[in-house]
Amino acid sequence: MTGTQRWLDSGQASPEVLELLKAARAPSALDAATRARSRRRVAALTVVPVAASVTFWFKSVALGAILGSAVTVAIVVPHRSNRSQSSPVQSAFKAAPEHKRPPLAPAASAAPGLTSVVVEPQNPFLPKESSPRTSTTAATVGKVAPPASASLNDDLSREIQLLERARQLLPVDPNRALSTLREHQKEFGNGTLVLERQFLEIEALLRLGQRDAARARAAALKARAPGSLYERRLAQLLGDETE
Amino acid sequence: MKFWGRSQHSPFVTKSMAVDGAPEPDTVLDVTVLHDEYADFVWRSLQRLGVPTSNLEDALQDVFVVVHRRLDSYDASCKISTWLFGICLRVASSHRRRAYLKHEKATLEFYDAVDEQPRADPEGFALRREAERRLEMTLASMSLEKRAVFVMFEIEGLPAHAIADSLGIPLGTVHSRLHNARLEFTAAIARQDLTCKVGGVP
Repeated sequence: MTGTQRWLDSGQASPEVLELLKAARAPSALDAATRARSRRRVAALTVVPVAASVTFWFKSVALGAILGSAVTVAIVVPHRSNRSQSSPVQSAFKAAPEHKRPPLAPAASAAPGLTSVVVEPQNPFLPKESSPRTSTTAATVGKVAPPASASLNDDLSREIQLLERARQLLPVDPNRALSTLREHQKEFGNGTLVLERQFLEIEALLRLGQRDAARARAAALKARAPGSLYERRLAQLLGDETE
Repeated sequence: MKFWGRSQHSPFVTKSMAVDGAPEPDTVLDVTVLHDEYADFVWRSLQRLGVPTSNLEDALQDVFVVVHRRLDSYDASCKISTWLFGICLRVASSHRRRAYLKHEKATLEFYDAVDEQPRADPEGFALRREAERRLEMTLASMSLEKRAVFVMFEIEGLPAHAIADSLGIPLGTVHSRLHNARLEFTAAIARQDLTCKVGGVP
């Protein structure tokens, strides 16, 4: 293969091809001006990474600052708003005298056929939107939710549970209902649902035939919560009993 | 021939730009150094591969942008000129594709920048321009690898071993490509003649 010759040297190609090859020009050399221009551009390429790294550094710092601020706002703002909304409720609950508290779940017991306590949504001491807000807050900031409202909810749930059990026992076993109500009295002597407990005690005493004791307790309850719904419920209860 | 493989050596302290491509240790490999040594080679290679004169400077820049980006993947086992020619091949291919998509007649620009006064021999000038045009159209119909070998051998008059050395391919491959390139070239000329005879414009 070393013997391969150019067509122009050997003349083995057609005249037309040879004519074309004779007209051909060899590639031109790179002139100095173009070379210098190209070199400047190439040299600029090597500078780019440094400039780019500085730019990226500034960008990353700015991005970090923005993200940090966003996270701080996301944690602090819900926490503060939750505190500011829960504090007045708790302070009002603690400051309010027991006899002046609004009655709890009177409608549930007063309404015929509604024997189960649906106290939670009607409880004035619980913010109506407290449950969803607490869950939202917990989902957003995890353990930042205030423990006071959580314990308040736990106590109220326990009170509701005891009173509901007593209400269920009333028609079948008034004695056990009464003991359940005493259990409530031990745990929550000054609890949120103390008026409801006293009302149920009166009903249990009536079912046990202790009318005098029931009337005495009813008078005490009327004096404790004058003008409340309990007065009407007691009149209905005692009037039925009288009849 | 490995153009994009990662070298086992540090790419930034590898070899010098010796004329024969032989590496010398402890020489910093930098794109500006490569440009100083190989800009002319790249420039000529791009012309051999059919990059139009109007796009030559852009193509040269494209090649060294790729070199800068791929410097860490340079395989120290192959010659730098071979590596650069591979990049030229890709850049020229990209330019050819771009010209095709833009419906440009890039081939006709190959010798347009040549300043020649037609006043002395206007008829000869016209014949030469026509021959150049036909030659470029014929070359444009060939594959880039074959075109490069054909131009280096038949037009530049480089010996086969120099082509093999420059492109980093075996001598047998050079002859094989040259043989096929000649066949393609002749067939393309015949096609053009046929087109002319039936009244079309080549």
